[in-house]
Parts: sequence; C-alpha cells; structure tokens
Amino acid sequence: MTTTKAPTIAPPVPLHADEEPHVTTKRAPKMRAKDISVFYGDKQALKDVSIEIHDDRVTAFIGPSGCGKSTFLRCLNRMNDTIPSARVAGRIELDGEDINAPAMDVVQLRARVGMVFQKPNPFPKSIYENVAYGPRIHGLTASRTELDETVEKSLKRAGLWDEVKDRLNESGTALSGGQQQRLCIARAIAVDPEVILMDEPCSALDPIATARIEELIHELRGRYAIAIVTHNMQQAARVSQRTAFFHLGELVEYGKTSDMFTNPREQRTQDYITGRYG
Amino acid sequence: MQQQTGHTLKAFDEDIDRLRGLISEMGQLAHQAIRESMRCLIERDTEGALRVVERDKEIDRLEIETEKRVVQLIALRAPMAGDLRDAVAALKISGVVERIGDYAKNIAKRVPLLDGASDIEPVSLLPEMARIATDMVTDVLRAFVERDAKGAVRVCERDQAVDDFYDSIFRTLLTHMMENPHNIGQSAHLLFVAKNLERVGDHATNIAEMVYYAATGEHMVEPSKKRRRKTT
Repeated sequence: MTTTKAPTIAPPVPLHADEEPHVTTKRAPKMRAKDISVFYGDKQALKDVSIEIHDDRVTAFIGPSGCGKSTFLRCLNRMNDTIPSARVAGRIELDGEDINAPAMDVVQLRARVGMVFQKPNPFPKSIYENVAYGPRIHGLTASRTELDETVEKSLKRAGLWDEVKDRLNESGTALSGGQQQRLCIARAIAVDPEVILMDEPCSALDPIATARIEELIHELRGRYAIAIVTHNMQQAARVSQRTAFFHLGELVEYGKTSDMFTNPREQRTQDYITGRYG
Repeated sequence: MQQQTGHTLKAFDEDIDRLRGLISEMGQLAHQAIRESMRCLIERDTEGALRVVERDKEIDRLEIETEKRVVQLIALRAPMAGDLRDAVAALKISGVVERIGDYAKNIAKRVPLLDGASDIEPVSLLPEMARIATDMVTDVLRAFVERDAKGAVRVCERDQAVDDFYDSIFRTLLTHMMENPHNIGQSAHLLFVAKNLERVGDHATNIAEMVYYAATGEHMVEPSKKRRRKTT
C-alpha cells in the first residue's frame, strides 16, 4: 500500500511594510483632521489640511523644510498650544471626539496621543524613572510591583529591555543616542497611548540605530496608530503604509505609500520624491 | 507623467541619459543587424551574413553594460517614481533588444542554406516585412528615449501589418511546399525567417508596453495592446 504524503505547507512569507493583510473591513479612522489651518501670527503655515489616520497603519508625512508637516503633526496632540502666536482653525477628532473642545483635558490627550521628538530628550533621571514618570503622574499603576511591570513591558516593547535591565538605576542620559531614542519611545508607550507621533525620530541616529527604530515602528504598528514626520524618503517608503506629501502648507497628495513612490498623481510630488524639486 | 525639469543632482541626470543612450545604441545595432541580414539573404552575401553573426556580440555586450548601469543606478541613486520605472524599463528593454539581435543572427545563419531560394516568391516580400518590423523597433526606442507614451501606442498599432505579412507568407510557402516537395527545405528556412521577423514585431510591441508604463505609470489598455490570433 502506498501512502500519500501530506503536502507540505510553505511557511507564511513575511509581509512587506506596505501590505495590509489585516485591513479587511473599512474601519473608522483613529484620528480625523478636517480643514486644518495654522497661523503663526499673520503667517499661515498650514492651509485647509484634511487627513485621516488609522490605528493599523503607519502614516508618513514628507515634504521640504517649512512645508508644514511638523506643524500638522503637532496639531494632533495640541503641542501648538505651547506656542503663544500659533492659532489653529479646523477640527481634529480622536475617536470622533473633538480634541480642541473645552472639555478635553490636554494632559490626558497627550497621554493618549504620545510624541517622540527629533532629538532624544530623556529626563535627567534614571532609566527606570524615565519610563515610570508617565504612569505615575497619570496614576495608571496601583503598586510598585505594577509599576515595575509597566516599566519592563514598555522597555521590552521598545526593544531596549535586554540592554538596560541590569542598569535601570543609571541615568537615561548615559545611554547611546539610539538607546535614548528607544527610551523615549518606551516612555511614550508606558502611558498606554493610542497614537504615537514621531517627529523625525531617526535624524540624529546612525544607520544601525535607525534600522532598530524602524524595526520597532514595524512591530508597534497595529498596536498603536503611528504618524511619522521624516525628511528621509527612503524611511517613509520603508516604514509607512500611507504617505502624505506637504508643500508650502498644503497637503498636495495623500495615498498608499507604494503608489506615492512608484506612480504619484501630482507633478509636485513626482518632482520632490525624484529629487527634482527646487 | 512627463518630467521636464532636471534633477537637483546633475549626476543623476547624466546617469539616466547614459542609460537612454545605451538603449538607443542597442536599438540601432539591432535595427542594422536585421536590415543587413535581409540584404545578405536577398543578395546571397554569405560573408556579410558572417559579419552580422559576429556583430551580435556587440549587442550582447551592451545588454550586460545596461544591466550593470541599472543596478548601479538603483544602488547609488535610489530612483523613485518615473526614474525607477525608467530604470526597470531600461533593464527589461535591453533584454528584449538583445533577443531581436539574436533573431538577426538566426536569419544570417540561414543565408548560406538558402542558395537558390530566390525562385520562391515570398522572398520578395520579406524585405518589406523586415522594414516595417525594424522601423517599429527604432520608433519604439525613440519613444522610450523621449518618454512618449502616445508614440508607443502608435507602434503597437503597426504590429498588425507585420502579422498580416507573416500570414500571407506562411500560406504562400505552404503552397510552394505542397506543389514541389523539393522546395520544402528552403521553404522551411524562409518560414523561420518570416517567423523571426514576426517575432521582432511582437517584441517591439512588448517594448511599447514597457515604454508606456515607464512614461505614465499605467499599464497600456486594450485595444492598443491587442493580442491577435496567430496562424501558427
């Protein structure tokens, strides 16, 4: 009697960052910006920008310096409130809720919409305290054990745990640049945000540290909605599923990253990404 | 989408121009090779045919050179959008043009075997068929260099004429073979020559599709990209 061998099933092929296997149904966007204009004094920095950010995608904002991409990113957790001359018009919703509404607690908002900056900016405290600070002030943990767990979980998610677990009491500023940036990401994650905004998170890092952050972004995607501003178009192409191109305060084009980098609809996008701009 | 302006980095433009130049040069050589092989066939120039076979090596060399430059361009310049499509098209087109060169070589190799075939009527049709097919190659490569999508579509439309020639020659040769079995050997060689020319037309059409995609980012739609019935 001959036995029929069961067909071997090939292991799943790893998906490219641009593929969206889990996007099967049309879901409501995590954040929705409608007709956002920003003025710094008399100068209009952003003109009627409307965009949606989904929680299962990385959205990249690209464009030349001064195009308004960072200004827009800062609108998403009201960081522009800290600039006295800045005025924001339009509506931004987080899960359908107006983030500029008087009832919105801005501290709470920034816990839900975390931010990672260009230059790693750990507090001049221990590694442990850097991560524990947020959960503590927001009262997210009831006991020291729970806080320890949150710190460990956040550092693990940020891919830093193995490198720092034996020196949690050392200063955060003593870490390397790439480690500091991952510490800042751990700090942002610690308060269990829904959205993470990253403003050129790798521009001060070497290529290896950059690759680690990009890998981290890839891992965090799906758990958090991620929006990233980057000057590095290759980085936008590598990490994002949606790309928005800003120019002179306008949103010129917004679409699937693979389309934006192979066949953009707008001439201005084409000129910018192929290096023909200005 | 057309690109009028140059790159901020001038060396990038030079790289792309050099790539276009290589494809253009390959196209000229392939065009000449087909024309020359046809002349040798008509004039019974066996020595000329040998030279066509020999010169095919130059086309092969240019294909390798193109591949090298495309890989370099992708590695060093990280081309995007239209530039990336151009680089990929150049790589694919060079492979197709190399194949067209092989057809010329194949025709040239049959020249010594076709002694006395001038009595067979379809021989007189082959040069005209070759002219249309080679003009298609020249024009489609010009369309590549000029990023001319409309030009590429026009080239596709001419493939029907080449196919009609082939159908006609095929039928006539069959008649010849049936009339006189002594003609079978030479008719078979001529049939291959006609088939080779028909394939040159098809390849020009394939290149046209690549040019269209490189220039517009869209795939050519029917009916320009017509896939016709084949007699054989």
